[in-house]
Order: sequence, then C-alpha cells, then structure tokens
Amino acid sequence: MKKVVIEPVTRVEGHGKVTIHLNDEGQVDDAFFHIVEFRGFDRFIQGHPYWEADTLVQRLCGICPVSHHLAASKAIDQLVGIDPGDLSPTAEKLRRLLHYAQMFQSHALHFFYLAAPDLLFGLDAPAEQRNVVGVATADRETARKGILMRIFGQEVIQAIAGRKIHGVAAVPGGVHKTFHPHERDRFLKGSDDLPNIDTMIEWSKEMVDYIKDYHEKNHDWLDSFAYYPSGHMGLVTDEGALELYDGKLRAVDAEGKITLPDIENDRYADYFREGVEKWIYMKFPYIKSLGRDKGWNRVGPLARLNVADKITTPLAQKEFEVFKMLTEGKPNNATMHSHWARLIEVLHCAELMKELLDDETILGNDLIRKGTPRNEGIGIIEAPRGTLTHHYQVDDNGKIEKCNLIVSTTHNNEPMNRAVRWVANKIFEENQTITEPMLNQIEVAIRAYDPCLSCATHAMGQMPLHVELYDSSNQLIDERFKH
Amino acid sequence: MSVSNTKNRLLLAIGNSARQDDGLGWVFAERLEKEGGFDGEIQFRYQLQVEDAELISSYDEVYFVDASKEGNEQGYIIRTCEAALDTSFSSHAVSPNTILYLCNDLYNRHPLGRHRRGGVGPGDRLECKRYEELEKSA
Repeated sequence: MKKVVIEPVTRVEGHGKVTIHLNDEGQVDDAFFHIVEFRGFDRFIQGHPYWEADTLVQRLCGICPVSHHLAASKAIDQLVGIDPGDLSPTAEKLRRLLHYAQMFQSHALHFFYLAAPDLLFGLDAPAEQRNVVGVATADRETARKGILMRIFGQEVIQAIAGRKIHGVAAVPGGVHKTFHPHERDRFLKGSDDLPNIDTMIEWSKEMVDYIKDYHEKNHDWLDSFAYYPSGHMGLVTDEGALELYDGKLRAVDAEGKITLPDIENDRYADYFREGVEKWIYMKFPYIKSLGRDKGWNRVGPLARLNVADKITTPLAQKEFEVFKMLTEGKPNNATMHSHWARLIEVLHCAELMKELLDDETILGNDLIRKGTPRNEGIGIIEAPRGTLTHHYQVDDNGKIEKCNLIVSTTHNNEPMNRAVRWVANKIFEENQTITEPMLNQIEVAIRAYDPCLSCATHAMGQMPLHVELYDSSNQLIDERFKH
Repeated sequence: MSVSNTKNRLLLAIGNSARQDDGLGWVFAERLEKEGGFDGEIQFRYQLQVEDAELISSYDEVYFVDASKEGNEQGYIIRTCEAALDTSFSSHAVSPNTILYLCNDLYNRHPLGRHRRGGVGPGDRLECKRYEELEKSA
C-alpha cells in the first residue's frame, strides 16, 4: 500500500494534515484529514471563576475571538440568571452589532485572502500565484475593497470591544461600555480613512454579483466539485428566518427533511453525541437519534442558507431567492457554493449593521441586568464558520466545574473528510500521477469550510507532537517525538 | 493601543506578550512609549496582516519590531527592509517585506522600511540580559 501525505494544508487557520491510502492497484483505499494540534481549552478552564471564561476562551483564536466571547457571554448570562431575552435592548443590540461586524470581517478575510486565489486563478495555477498577493496583483481595485471591508468590521469591533483582537465588550448580564454618537457616526457617515456603511453594502452587493457571474462562467466545476449529500444545521428565528446571534437549532437532511425540529439551546445535549476516532484530536458531533453514520451535519454559510426559510434584510433576501432557485428550494449540497452563501451573508451582515447603527437604542446607557444565579449556562451562536456551542457548569461559589465547547469546525469534521475522500477518488481515478495542482484540489475542498483548526482542537501555544507508525498488523514499528 | 504624534513614522510592534519572549517587541515598544523615545505612532500587533499594507501607506518610514532567535553580539539586528513577495505558509501572518510590497503595489506608496529583530524567540523567558539589550537598542 502506498501513502500520500500533504502537510501542511495551506491557507487554513491552524495546522492540518491529509493522508491518502492507496491499495496495490493504485486506487484510493481511504483518505483522512488529520488535525495534529492537541485539544485542551475546555479542560484547563476548569477551576477558574465563571466571569473569567468569556475572556479566556477568546484566546482559542485570533480570527474569531468575538464569536467565542459572545457564545461564552450568553452562557455566563444564564449563570447570573439572565436569559437572552432578558438583556436590556441596548446591550443586546450592541452585542449583535459586534457579532455582525465579526461575521463581516471574518467572511471578508476568508473570501479575499484565502478563497479568492482558487476562484481567480483556477486549480491548476502555480502555487506562487495562488495567494492573496496574487489576488492583489491581478485585481487591485477588488483587493483594496476587500482590505477596507475587513478594516471596517475590525473598526466596529474596536469601537465596541476596545481592541480589534481579544477585546472585551460583554460582561455577565450585559455590556460594559456605552456606544457614543461620535463612534456611531463614523460608521454611518464615514471618515477620511474609512468608507461608510452604505459603501460596505454596495461593495458587498458587488461581491455577490461577482460570484453569480463567476458561477455563470464556471458552473461545471463549481456545481460538481466535492459534491456529496449531507445534513445541514444552523440557527433560525421563531419564523424560520436565518438567525446568527440567538435562535433555535434546526437541521435538515440532504433532501430537506427536518431532522432537528427547531430545538431550544438548553436542550442541545439531549439531541447530540460526540464521536471520537484515534487518528484525530477533533471530535465528530452527530444527532443522537440518527446515529454516528447518518447524524453528522455541515454547518456554516451553506448550511445556514439550507435550513433557513428566508432572510430578514431585503437585499440579502433577494439574493437568497436566487440562490435557492439553483436547487429548486431543496438543500444545496455543492461544497463550492459555500463561497456564494458566504457572500450573501456578508451582504446580510452589512444590512444588519446599518439597521443597528440607525437605531437610537444602541446609544442607550441601560447596559446590565441582574438575576438569580444558576449553576449551568449554555450559549449557542452562529460563528462565521458555523454553529458554536459553549456549555458551563459551576459550583455555588461560581467556580467552573465542567466546560464543553463544540465549535463549528468540529461539526464540519466529517464533512471535510467526505470532501477529501471525494477529491482523492476523483484525482486517482483520472490520473495515477500526483501533481501539485492535484494536491491543491484537496486543499480547495477543505478551504470551502473555512476551517479553524486551532479553535476545533482548543489548542494553545506550541504543542508537542508524538507520531506513531503501525504496520498492517497494527504493530508499532516506529515513533517520533517533536518538541 | 496607539500614540499618535505624526504621520511621518510608524512603529509596528509584533508579538504576543502572553507567550513569554515572543512579547519582546511589545516590551520594546512600551518602553519607547513610556520614555518618549520614538517620534511617531506606535501600534501593537500579534501578527502582521494584509490590511497593514493600507495602514503603512500613510507613513514615510515604518519600523517593524519583533522577537527572533537571530541576533548578533548586541542581541538584536536592525536592517533595511525591502519590498518583496514572500508567499509563506499562512496568510494569517504576513512578512514585513510582503506588507511593503503590497503597499507599493496597491497604493503606489513606498515607505522606507526597517526591521528590528530581538535575539530571542517563543518559548524563552524574558531575562534581565534581554532587558539590557533593550536598553541599548532603545
């Protein structure tokens, strides 16, 4: 048997590795996407007081710290007796603005910096061209817009949380800082160094138009590449609309049949299990009633649009209708359409930010509510990469006794492995020779999920790596330690 | 996280003070801020990002300061930083050379770049010797 190893997998957050096992006939026997970082955050947080959690867990990631901060804050609110609907209107709106800015900047980063090179230059382009510098050189105007879109989101985050990365906005039961009119006006009207929110909406619309045009010209590979049927999961409002901050969990199968019927966040543990495999640190969540083989779901932009009945903002709703027409209202199982869905969400978040910036309530000073303390809190939000769950249990002194984090990339673990197997089969069916563009195809499939491997393994710092090699009779024949 | 004086000079301190000596660039910049030893704006970064190309396009001179295992007898190196493509492993961390290149290419601006690298790396602990080197360097 021959084994092909791709390490590291590039243009994803964190370090991953892919192995492809070929049989004696040169056909793919199996393929795996390994996460070689070690899981740890939900263990070492035990023993800390609950009020430290929403700051500590942000250190999981430098790309989506806001998502972890807000998911943890929603759980911590419950520990002080405050359910999501009990927050003051100002506090909830400020948290939502922060969340939408995070989605906006993270999606912009993924599309312009990570995914765009694959779309602009194609799968066969030389490696030295397939990067953000290549994008900048090929289309300067688009690159400049992409940079300013990311900066806009980051500036909103800084205005609310004090810093672009690892800032603090939420406190138990609310937020700690008033949003001032001069801060709001900078985003509404623009400034010397920053375009206004209307420009962000306009550019977001241009990006959706770009991907529609791209699809028109490249639908052959975009519709078929790494296509496979799967379940999809995301949050929805009581009316079934796309919801990013606080909603009910809904899942559908590949045909659109409901498999998780709009459940409340605090019941997630009744419906889910997490499977483990010995070749990867990341777990495999699945719907208990469907079992490990059938109960896994994609999460993220594509899944969210698949479970939602509608979108609440007008421009994004119009694009949602176009997107749904592709599959005649059925779930869309085309992996590469994740990028299209992601850009519709960029437009939605830009519209949502404008709604909030226009709302005078956001400038209020009723920031914190208090309730009767409890011993358990569960916060679920839609992070850029998908459904994110934070679950804490504390003792009567507020010390964390148990913490469980199910991050988006964990849900996408099985889907990414399926995508890798699809590509591996296709590559070796067509050609027995391994080329660099072929290897890139595997990365393209993984990249569509925008995986955050450091989040998914809750890694911190530089972890030692222990590699063991077994022969076909499962005997250990070699091992290596990397410190 | 920044002190604004003039648009002529920018110092970008790169590192993570929560990761021991990886925070050396920040310590260096904080000392300059405290003692007023730098006539320009100072900003702090975990890593350089693509959007920093837009930021530096407003300046005439840019100093990139970070920790490194490289070093001479003084414990640090200061060298002119050329604009150059460096398609490194992660787009989440971009080199000073690439930031200068993107600034030139996207904004047609050519700030003078200098790169100061301290003589330690992640995993080492901040030691008195390193502070002495910082004193000399500052």
